Amino acid sequence: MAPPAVTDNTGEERAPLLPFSPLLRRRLLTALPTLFVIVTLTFILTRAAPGGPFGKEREMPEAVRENIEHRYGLDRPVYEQYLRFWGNLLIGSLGPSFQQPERSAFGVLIEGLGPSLIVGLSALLVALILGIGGGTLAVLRPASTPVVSIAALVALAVPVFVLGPMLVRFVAIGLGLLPAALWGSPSHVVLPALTLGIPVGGALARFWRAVLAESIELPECIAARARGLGEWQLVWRHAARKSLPLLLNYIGPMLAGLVTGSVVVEKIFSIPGMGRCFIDSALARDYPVVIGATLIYAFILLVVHTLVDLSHLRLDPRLRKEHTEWTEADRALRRKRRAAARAAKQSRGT
Amino acid sequence: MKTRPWNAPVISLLLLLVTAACGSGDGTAGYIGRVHPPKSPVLRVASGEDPAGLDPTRYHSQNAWRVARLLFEGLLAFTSEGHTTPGVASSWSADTEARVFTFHLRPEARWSDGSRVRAGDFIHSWRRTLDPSFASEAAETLYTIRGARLINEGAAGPETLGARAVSDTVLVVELEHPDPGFPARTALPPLFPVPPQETARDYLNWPGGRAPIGNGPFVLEAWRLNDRLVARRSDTYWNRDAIELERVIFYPITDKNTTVNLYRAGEIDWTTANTIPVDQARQFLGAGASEVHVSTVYATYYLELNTRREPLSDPRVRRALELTTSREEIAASIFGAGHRPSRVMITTDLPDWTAPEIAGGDAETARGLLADAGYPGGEGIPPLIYIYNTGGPHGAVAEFLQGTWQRQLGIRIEPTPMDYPSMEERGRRGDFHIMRSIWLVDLPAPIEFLEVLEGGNPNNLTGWRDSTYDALLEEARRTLNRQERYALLRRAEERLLTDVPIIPLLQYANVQLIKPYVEGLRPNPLDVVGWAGVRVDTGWHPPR
Repeated sequence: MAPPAVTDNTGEERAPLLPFSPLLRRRLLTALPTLFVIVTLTFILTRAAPGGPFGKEREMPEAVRENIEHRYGLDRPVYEQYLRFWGNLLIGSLGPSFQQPERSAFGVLIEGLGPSLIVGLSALLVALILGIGGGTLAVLRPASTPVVSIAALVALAVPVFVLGPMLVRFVAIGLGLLPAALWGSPSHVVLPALTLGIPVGGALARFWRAVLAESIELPECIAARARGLGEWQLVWRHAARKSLPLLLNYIGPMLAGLVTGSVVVEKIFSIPGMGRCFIDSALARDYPVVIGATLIYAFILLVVHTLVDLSHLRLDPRLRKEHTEWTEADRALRRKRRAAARAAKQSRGT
Repeated sequence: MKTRPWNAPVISLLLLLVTAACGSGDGTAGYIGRVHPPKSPVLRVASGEDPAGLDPTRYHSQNAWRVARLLFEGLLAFTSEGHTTPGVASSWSADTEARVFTFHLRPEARWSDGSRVRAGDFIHSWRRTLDPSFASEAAETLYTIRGARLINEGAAGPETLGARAVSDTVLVVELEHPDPGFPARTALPPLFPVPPQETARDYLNWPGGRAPIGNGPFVLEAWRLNDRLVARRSDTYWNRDAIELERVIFYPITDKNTTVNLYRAGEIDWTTANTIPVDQARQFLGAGASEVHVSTVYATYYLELNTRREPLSDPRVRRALELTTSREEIAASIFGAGHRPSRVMITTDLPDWTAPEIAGGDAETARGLLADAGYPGGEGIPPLIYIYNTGGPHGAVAEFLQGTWQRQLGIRIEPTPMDYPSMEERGRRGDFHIMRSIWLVDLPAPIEFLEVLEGGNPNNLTGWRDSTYDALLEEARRTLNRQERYALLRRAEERLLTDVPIIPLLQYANVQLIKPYVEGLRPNPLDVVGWAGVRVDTGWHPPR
């Protein structure tokens, strides 16, 4: 049964976005081959990288090395390893990690995913507060624009590997206000989130200021101002709303970048995150973990981009209309195909 | 002028930050950073990297062994000074040839589930370690036991191992060749017992796995990868009264600056070997802080010369390079944290060991040798590829030698950095002229340093093979008298250093930071910890 049509607050009838949206279906259809290509490429690249996973400062006797390679199937031809790898992946396993043989490769990554998400989302919050706050302030109070611009530029220009140690020196060691590193309590999240979020917040402030300044010059905003609407109201009720789709476009990749790009911060603050696992495993040629991490990162990127597209549909009436038409056309096509199939079946029956 | 009301707090905050930045009040006077002992006897350790796993018999690395020694114990154990001491075995004896050893186990030794540790448990564990399908990377450590190598190579059954349990408390071990030092070998984790009640081959599985049953002074409480490993005092350990720590927490911090930050902030009590940056270690040493502990390590930093490739196939060229290697400058300017320049492979810190005399020479002698070899002024020598792994001081050493050899001999070097697996692969393929190397021994025996260059040893990447050298080592293995054995080994080392397939550079050192309220930790050349007697003085105050 087709899902019932819903009416939004504009009174406009539209098709529900979930769960039968053709957009989602198309995304899913393109996601699977994308993931397949990514995994295959990663498999080939990891095998092509020089060296193997069991190189140690102390070399092993040949028999010991052979035993280990046999255990992990590395003595088999590469195509066989590839087929076996897909066989495992289809049942949801990547096999054991080579560097942590007592753990599964997925286990290693899933353990790291939580802290990476917490740090990434907290940094997003920091970036949003600083970026939206700074950008809006610059538009509302033109006198503060140079200060905001310089502050944003400085935040943007200071690399994470400088900002992190500076914050540790001042806040953790100097003032003793927060832990210098490690993981385990909400206080451990603050400095990593600030380190990761401040540069992104700087970039966002510049972007948001530019977007708002442009929107505020739109005819409807000028008209609203002429009606006597205050600056604050004008910015929030008109300019910000107009700029929201652009902001979403910006935040999508930014969020993915924050979640997947926290490697340096994880190292500086010794956070047990996935970025650290990824780098360590790449350097140690831990093939299953490298492929697993790539797969998870690719998945996160696909999900974030799909969410951004869905949000656009919610926010932009033009897109929504297009999508509705598209959905209807899609449904009509399917109905037509089903009817044709029924007719063909009946004609075969008679 | 009107003052803005928010100016005062902002200025105060800025002043506070500046004060913090200047470092006033960021620690206890006379110490590195904050010194506040924890409220309970817990030792917080910066341990470098996570262990590869908890199975004591499967891995060959300092990190895995450090954890193994917390949770398990062998027939013998180590003290904090690095000497052997009775462990599960209360006494032992050897036959006159030092080939058959009889160990008497303590009846009170227990697994953490309360069951007895029996002689048969060791045999079960050793057979498991040598099982080819178990694929232990540390199996080689057991090769000294009769039949072990063949079992590991899949050429003999596990029952052929030269070890038998006469009773629950008597274990007899037969060796391939006489080795008076074998009891000390049983203090290495690959020879530790694993509980026979764990029937599965891989009985550990993380995350979500249960804590392993061990027989060591501590039992595992929690292990989260890249976060922390927590062990609490065992209730069943035979010597539990000597264990004063309630808990030990290992933090796997891989960034060395982060380790120092945490130590300064008072969140870490002990930074283990090789966990702080060399320049910071030098700084702390210069300041003479009482928390800085320097210990030599039974490890040698050396260069491997590829004797299969021109022009290094000529010993005169190798000698010329060796003579012009300024180790003193490398030790002082690049390392300088207790590292000592060295022209020999075997560390001179070994008790009763005297290094052989090696003929010296100056740059003029070196240039003469080069001319004799047909390369006057370095002419005709292609750029020599010097491979090393990135990270650490290896790049600085390569660049220093590049300048020295170019200046003194006219030989050009191509420093070629790469990641560790790539270096290891190129080394094994022999695709290099010069490669950096470090050899860290497990036991304080001179032969451990020399075996690495024996013909057929997988660690010998130089291509150098000398039958006399190999014969001297073989004879030394069969010689019981220590003086005679050492004389043979001295001759072997002399031969090695005369032929120069390697250029020893340094004897390694470790710099560790230990908070003043921690007692009983004594950094030693084997980098081992005897947990009995280690304590944290929770009531410690800085002396007035």
